[in-house]
Amino acid sequence: MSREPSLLKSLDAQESISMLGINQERSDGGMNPTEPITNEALSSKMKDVIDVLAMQREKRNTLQKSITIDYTKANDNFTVSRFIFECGLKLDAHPLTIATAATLYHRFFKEAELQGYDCYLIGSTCLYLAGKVKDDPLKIRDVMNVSHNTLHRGSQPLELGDQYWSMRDAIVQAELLIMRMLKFQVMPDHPHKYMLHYLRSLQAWFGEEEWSKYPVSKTSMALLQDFHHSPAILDYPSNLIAIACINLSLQIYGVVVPLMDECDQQPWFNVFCKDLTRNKLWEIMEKIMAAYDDEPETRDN
Amino acid sequence: MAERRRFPSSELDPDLSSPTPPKRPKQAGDAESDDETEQEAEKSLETSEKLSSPEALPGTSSSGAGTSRPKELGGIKDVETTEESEEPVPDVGQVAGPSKQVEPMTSEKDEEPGTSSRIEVRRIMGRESTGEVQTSLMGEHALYQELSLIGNGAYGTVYKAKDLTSGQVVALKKVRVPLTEDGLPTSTLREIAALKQLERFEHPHIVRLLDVCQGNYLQLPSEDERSERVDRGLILWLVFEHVERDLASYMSSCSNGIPPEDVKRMSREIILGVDFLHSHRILHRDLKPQNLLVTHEGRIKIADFGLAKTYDFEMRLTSVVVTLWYRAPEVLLGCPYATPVDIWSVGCILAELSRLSPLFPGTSEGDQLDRIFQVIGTPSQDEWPENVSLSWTAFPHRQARPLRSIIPNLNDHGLDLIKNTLIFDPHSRITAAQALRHQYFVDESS
Repeated sequence: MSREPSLLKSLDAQESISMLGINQERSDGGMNPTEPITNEALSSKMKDVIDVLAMQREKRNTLQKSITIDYTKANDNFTVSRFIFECGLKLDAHPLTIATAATLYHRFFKEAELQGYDCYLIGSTCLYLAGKVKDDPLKIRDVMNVSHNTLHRGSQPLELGDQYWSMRDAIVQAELLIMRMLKFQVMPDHPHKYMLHYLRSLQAWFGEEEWSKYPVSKTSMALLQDFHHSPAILDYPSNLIAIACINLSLQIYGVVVPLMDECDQQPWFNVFCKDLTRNKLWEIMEKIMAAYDDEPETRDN
Repeated sequence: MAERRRFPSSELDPDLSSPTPPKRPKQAGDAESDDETEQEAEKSLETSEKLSSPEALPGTSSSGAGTSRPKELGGIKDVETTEESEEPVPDVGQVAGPSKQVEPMTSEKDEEPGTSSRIEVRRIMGRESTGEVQTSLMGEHALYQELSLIGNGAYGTVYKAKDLTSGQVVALKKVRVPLTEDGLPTSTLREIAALKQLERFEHPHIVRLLDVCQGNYLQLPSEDERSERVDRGLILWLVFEHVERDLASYMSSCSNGIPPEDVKRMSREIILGVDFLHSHRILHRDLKPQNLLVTHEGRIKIADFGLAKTYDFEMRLTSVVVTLWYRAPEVLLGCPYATPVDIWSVGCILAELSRLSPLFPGTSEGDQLDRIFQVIGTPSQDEWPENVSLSWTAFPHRQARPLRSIIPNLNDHGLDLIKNTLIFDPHSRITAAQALRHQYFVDESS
């Protein structure tokens, strides 16, 4: 599994949507026989295309450099999840550990009121707890320093004083609190394992050559990982979430599963889940896309 | 390290010393807290938490923190004071500790994670609620009522209790877990989480884990003066379904022998349970008739599994001798072991079901091995594992005895199954999944 920041990758995926649209437009223009294609006309058409692409690239570059979230300004689900991901990546935690942490976090605040707790303490503790659950040990001191520095950018590592021990105590106590709140059920049933199984099956169905043309696996995994920014991930069974991520990824690249078309009586996913309807699938896919609405990178202004 | 400040809750949490406060006490501290928040959280937790008191949780919200407390602990509290008086702990009420102590980091966000403000908050809390506390020691709100002491085993104390909301009789198992500066040990956390995970399957031959509750903090006898916190512990209460009888007492009540069809059915149920555990990568490590429960309908339920590492800590605190009779040779020899150890134990138990007396009642590791060899024969020197303290030459050479002479009232298929479970080399031993397909169970006649 890739350890690259998944948000950045999925940003690429989102752009691919618009790029596909653009390609479509261009080929339509080229195939229209009634309109003679002059070099000038083509270049003017192309000019727009290139401009859009260049703009997007430029926008992305500036955004990637400039966006550092000030976590002290917000405590909504997306922002804290993003905090968990940022800290998790800095701690070099396994992606499944980060996914576990985010899931624990959403589950905790499904039980508790957001204003009742310091959500960044809960977030950091979820990360620490997830390390234990997944046997991917994260040192408590590392978690504390990374969380503190991410919250208060540019601050020095914590000195071994009262503040340090208070925070350490707080994490230890919050860990027990989370355990109790979640009824000691802290081992999530991840969509990842279903996804791996489905992707492997699709890979065999597509054939190696066709499959390697599109980064369906990578995009599916990025979509899944990013979906952990939204509490909606708790609302659907893991296997359906896996299917939705793959289907969205197939749609993004305009890939059709071999020997099946859109109107097929039995779409590909019914092989893995008999009862899944298109409507239900689209509902989940929309939730996955909605997770990006809160992303500062994609917000205008 | 020397200047590190500790917050022994005994000193700071007088407000928590009562296990049974009246529900939602009205007091100054609470006025500031968001009532809606608390009610919400309370509601959502009511079903989940029992001993550890959901009411205590929402207290984090503001200065009212910690004033609500684990009313349900009352039933347990009696247990605590009677059974555990040797523990020098002012602990009973501290179940609410976690929720309260989350407080400090709330201020951390405001760049003020200072301890001083925290102490302040706590002291205020303490003062406000002292009077409150003393009035609420009664146990009428307890969710579990202790009925009797079931046992005081190597794995902690077990109580029979009644769930006062459902009326169900349960077994409360008290497990002490170490609580270090790093919080709960990973092994304990993973084991308990795994047990909760297993619950989803509701396997018919596995004892139900109904709930996990957080109990009191405790101070453990200090082993190392320098690291004070390492000696802290926490009590967890595991709430299991209660089954009246175990297989040991069942067998002793059947002095005329168990009908062969029952022997076969019980054998199969034991192996079904073991197969389920093994397929979820759980070793029992201590299968014995005392750990196999027999319901009124005569169904087998396996208990006491999946907590090997959690128990390990508990066992260091007790001096109860663990029976060797069902131990596999590789365990007795101190070799690495895996799922075959449970199969060995199953073999011993299956034999006992027919014989009604233990197959290898050894008195020491050496005697245990010798008794085993008297039945299965001493293994050849080639089979003897390397790097073990007991050498092959230490044992007299024994010839294998036919199982028929030892278990006369079992049919040939049954004897063959037991023979395949009692193989010295763990890799050659039958697996649970294979055992279920054995002719003994396929054959209709018993």
